Amino acid sequence: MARFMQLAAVLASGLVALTLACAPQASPTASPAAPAPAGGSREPDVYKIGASFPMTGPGATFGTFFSQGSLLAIEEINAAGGVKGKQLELVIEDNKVDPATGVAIYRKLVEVDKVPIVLITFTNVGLAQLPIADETRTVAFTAAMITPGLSEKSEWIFRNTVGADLESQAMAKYIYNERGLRRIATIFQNQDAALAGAQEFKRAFEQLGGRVVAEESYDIGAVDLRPQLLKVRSANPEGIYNVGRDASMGYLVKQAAEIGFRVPQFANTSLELPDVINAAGEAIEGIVYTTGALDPETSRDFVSRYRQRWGTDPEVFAGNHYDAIRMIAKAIETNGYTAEGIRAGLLAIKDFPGVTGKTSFDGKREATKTVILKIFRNGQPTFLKSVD
Amino acid sequence: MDTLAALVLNGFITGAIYAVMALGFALIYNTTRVFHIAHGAVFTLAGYGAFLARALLPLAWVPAVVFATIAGILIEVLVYAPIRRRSGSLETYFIASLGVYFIVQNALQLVFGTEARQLRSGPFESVSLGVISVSYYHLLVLLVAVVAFTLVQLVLTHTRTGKAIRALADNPGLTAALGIDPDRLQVVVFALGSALAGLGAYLLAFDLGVRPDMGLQILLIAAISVILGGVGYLPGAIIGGFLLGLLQSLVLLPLSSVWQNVVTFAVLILVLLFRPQGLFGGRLVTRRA
Amino acid sequence: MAIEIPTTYLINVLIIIEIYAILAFSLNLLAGYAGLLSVAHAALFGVGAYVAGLVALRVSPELLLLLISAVVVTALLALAIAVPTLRLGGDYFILATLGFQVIITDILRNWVDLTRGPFGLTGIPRARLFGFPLASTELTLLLVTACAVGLFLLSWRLVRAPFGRVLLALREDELATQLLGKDLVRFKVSIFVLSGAMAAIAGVLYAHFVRSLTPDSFPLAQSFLLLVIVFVGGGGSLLGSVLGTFLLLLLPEIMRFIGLPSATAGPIQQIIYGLVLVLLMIFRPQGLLGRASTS
Repeated sequence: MARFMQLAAVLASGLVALTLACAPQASPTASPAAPAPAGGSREPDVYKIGASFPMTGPGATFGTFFSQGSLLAIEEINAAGGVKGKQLELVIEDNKVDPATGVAIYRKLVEVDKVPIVLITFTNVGLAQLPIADETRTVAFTAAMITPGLSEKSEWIFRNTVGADLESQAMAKYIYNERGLRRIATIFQNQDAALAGAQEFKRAFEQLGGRVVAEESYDIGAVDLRPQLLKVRSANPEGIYNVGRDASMGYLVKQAAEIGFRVPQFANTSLELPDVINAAGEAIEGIVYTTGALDPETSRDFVSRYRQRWGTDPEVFAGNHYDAIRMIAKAIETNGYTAEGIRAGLLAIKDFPGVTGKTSFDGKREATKTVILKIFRNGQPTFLKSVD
Repeated sequence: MDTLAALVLNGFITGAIYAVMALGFALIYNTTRVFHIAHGAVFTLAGYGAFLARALLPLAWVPAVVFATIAGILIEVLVYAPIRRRSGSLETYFIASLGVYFIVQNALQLVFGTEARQLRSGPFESVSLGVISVSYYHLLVLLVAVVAFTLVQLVLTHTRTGKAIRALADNPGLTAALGIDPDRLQVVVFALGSALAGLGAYLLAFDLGVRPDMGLQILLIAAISVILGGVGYLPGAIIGGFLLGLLQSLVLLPLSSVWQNVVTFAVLILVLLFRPQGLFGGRLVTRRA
Repeated sequence: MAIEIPTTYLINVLIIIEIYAILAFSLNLLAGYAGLLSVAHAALFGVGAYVAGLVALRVSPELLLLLISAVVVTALLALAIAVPTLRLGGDYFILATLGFQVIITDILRNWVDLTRGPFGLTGIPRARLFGFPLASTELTLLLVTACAVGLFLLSWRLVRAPFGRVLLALREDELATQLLGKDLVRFKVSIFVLSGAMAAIAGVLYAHFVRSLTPDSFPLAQSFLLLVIVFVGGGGSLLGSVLGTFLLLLLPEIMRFIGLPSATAGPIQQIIYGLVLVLLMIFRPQGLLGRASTS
C-alpha cells in the first residue's frame, strides 16, 4: 500500500506540474466539447502560423530547408510592417517524422497557440493530421508533401509543391521523346514518395510505349547500391531513373561509375541536395533531373537574400515555403485571420508572383506549378528546358 | 551468369569493409562479452575525427584512431568498470551502453548537423575485372582485410599478449590467477578494439562519408559478422564479414532487393539457433557479464 | 489575459502516454521480471496495430473483433518467436529478437498486397462498441484508460500470484529455479505470449487513435526506447514502468513549453536521457522504483 501511495503522489504531482506548465492563468471555464473556431473571436496581437516540421530524426535536413525558407519570409514581412499592422510569428513544432507526434503537435498548435493554419510536412505525418484539420476546421497547408491524391483526403488541405506524379510524367516524356530511349530501369528508395514516383514513371513511360525493364529498391540509409545496380544491369536497360530523397541517390551515382556501369542516368528533384551532390562527385555530370522551379527572374533576389541570411543557397522546398508564407500573409490581408478567411483568401489567389513561379490554386486547392528539367554541366545544376 | 560472378565479386568487396569493421568489435566482445552497443558510437566519433582532418586526407586516420581509442578507454573506465564493481547484470550493461550511444550520437548531431558529410567527393578510379569494375580503393580495403586476418592470427598464436587475450576470452578467472590484472587487461582490450574501430571508420568514411546515425547500422554489421564467423575466434570475425557481404549481395540473385534485410536476419537467427558458435567458434562460453 | 485549459490537447498527450505505458509494463513482465530482454516489442505493437487497421478497414470496426483478431495474430507470432529464441541466453536472445523485429517490420513494408507497403493504411475508421462509434477524443480517452487500467491490474495480480513469484525467482537465479523443478520453458513462453498480447491491445488503441499507420512507425529505436523506460522505471516494478513512461514522454512536452528551439531541443533531450541512463545504471541499476537485487 505504501508503494501505491508513492505512485499516487508522483502521478498527482506530475499532473499538477503539467497543468501548471500549460495553463499558468487558467480561466475557470473549461473549453467546450465543440472547439471554438480557431483564431478566436478577439483579434490577437500577433498573427501566429503553425508549422509541423521534421526538426529531428530522418527528415531533419528537410526541416532546415522548410524553416529557413519560411522564417526568411516572416522576417521580411515583419520588417516591412507586418500584415495589417501586426507582426507574423511562426510557431515551429518538431514532428520527428512520427504520426503520433504529428497528431499531438497539431492539436497543440490549434488549441494552445490558437493558429488557424498549420504548415504540414511529410506524408506519413500529414495524413494522420488531416482528420484533425477537418475536425478543428483549420487550414492544413503543405509546401512539401508530394504524394498524389492529397486533395481528396480533406477539404482543408492546400498544396504548393510539385507532386511526385508530375515529376515522373515529365521525366517519362523527356526520356521517350527527347532522348529516344525505350528500355529504362528504375532504382528507388523504398518509401512512399519515391515509390509513388517510380510507379507513376512506369505508368507514364509504358503508356508512351516504353518499357521499364527492371525495378529495384533500397532502404532508407542504404550505402551499398552495387547489388541493385548489378541486378538491374542484367536486364540491359538503356538508362536508369534514380528516385530518392537522400544521400543514397548520390552513392548510387558514384557506385555506378565505379563498377563501370555507364548508361545515361535520370533523377528526381532530390538530386540537387547537397548530400547527394557531395556523395556523387563528378559522376553527376550530365544527369538530367526534374525539379520544381525556382523561377529564374523572380528568385534571383530571393537567392541572394537567402544566402545572406542563412549562409547557404536555397533549394526548391525553401522556395516553396517562402512563397507559402507570403501567400498566407496575403490571404490574411484580404480575408482576415481566421481559418475560413485564410481558406477563401488562398483560393482567391491568382498568378501570385512567387519565387517558384506564378502560382494559382485550382479547384482542388493544388497550386499549378511548373516542372522544369535541369542537367549538371561542369558540376553546376543548369537549366535545360521547361515542361508544359 | 555474368551477374552471378559480378555479385560474388561485389560480395567480397563489400565483405572486406565489413571484415575490417567487425575486427574491433570482435576483440572487445570476445574478451569481455559486453554487448558494447556504444562501439557504434565510438566508430561514428572516429569517422568525424577523420572528417575534421580531411584536408590532410592520407593522415586523417590519426585523429580517427586517437578519438576512438580515447573514447573506448573512457567508456570502459567511466561506465563499464563501475558497473562491474557493483556486479551489474546483463541489462545494466546493455542500457548503460545504449545511454552512451544516445549521448554521442546526439552530441555529434548538435555539432555537425544531420547531413552526410563526405571526406572527398566522387567515384574512385576503377580497374576492370571483366564482369565488374572494381575501384582501387576497394582493392586496398580487400588487402587490408587479408593483412589484418594474417596479422591477428600471428599475434594470437605467437605473442604473449595474444595468448593473454585468448586466456581472458576462455576463462576470465584464469588471468587473475596468472597475476594479470583483469581490469588493466580490459582497458587494453577496449583501447585496442576501439583503435581498430578507428581505422575501420577512417576507411569507411573515406568511401562513404559520415552521418551521426550510422553507428547502429555498423554495430549490427559487426555483431552479425562476429556471430557468423564464430565468437571466441578472432579471425572468425573477418571471415564472418566476408560471409555477410556475400550473403547481402547474393540475396538479390533470386529475390528483389526489398528482402535483403529479412534474409540477412533470418540467416542470423538460424545460425544463433543451430550453430551458435558460428563457423569457426570454439566451445561456447556462457558467462554472466 | 485568461487562457483556456487546452483540454483536448492534454487528453491527446494522456492517450499517447497511456498507450506507451501499456507497452512499457507489458515489456517489463518479460524483460524486468523474467529477465528476457526482447527488442521485438515494437514489432509486436505494430502487428497488433496493422491487424486492427486492416480488420477495421476491410471487415468491420467493431471493437471486440479488432481486439480479438489483433491479440490472436500477435500472440501466435509471439509464440513463434518465443519457442526458438528462449533456448538462447543473454546477448543471443537480444540479437535474435532484434532479428525478428527487423524481419517483421520489413514484411509489413514489403507485403504490399496486404499492407499497402510503404504507403501504409490511412483513413482507418474509429472503433465501434456494439455499433456505437467511439468518435470523440473523450471517448477515446475512456477506452484507452479502461484498457490501460485493466491490463495493469491484470499484470499486478499476475506478479503477486505464484506465477509472478516464479518469474522473479527466475530472474534472480535461473539455476535454482530449475532445481525446484518448475517447467521453465513453459513459463517463459507464456510470459512472452502474454506480453505480446498486451502489446497488440496497445496496437489496436493506437490504430484507433492515430488512424494512419506506416511501417516506419514501429522501428527498432522504439523497441530500445521501451527497454529504456522499463529499466529507468525499474525492472520488476510495474509502477516503475508507468512512472518511466510519464517521465520520458512528458519531458518533450515540458520542453516544448519552455520554448527551446526545436532543432536543438531534440538532440539535447536525447543527451539528457543518455546521461540519466548511464548514471542510473552505475548508481541505481534497479531503476527508480525497482528493488535492489538480492544476489
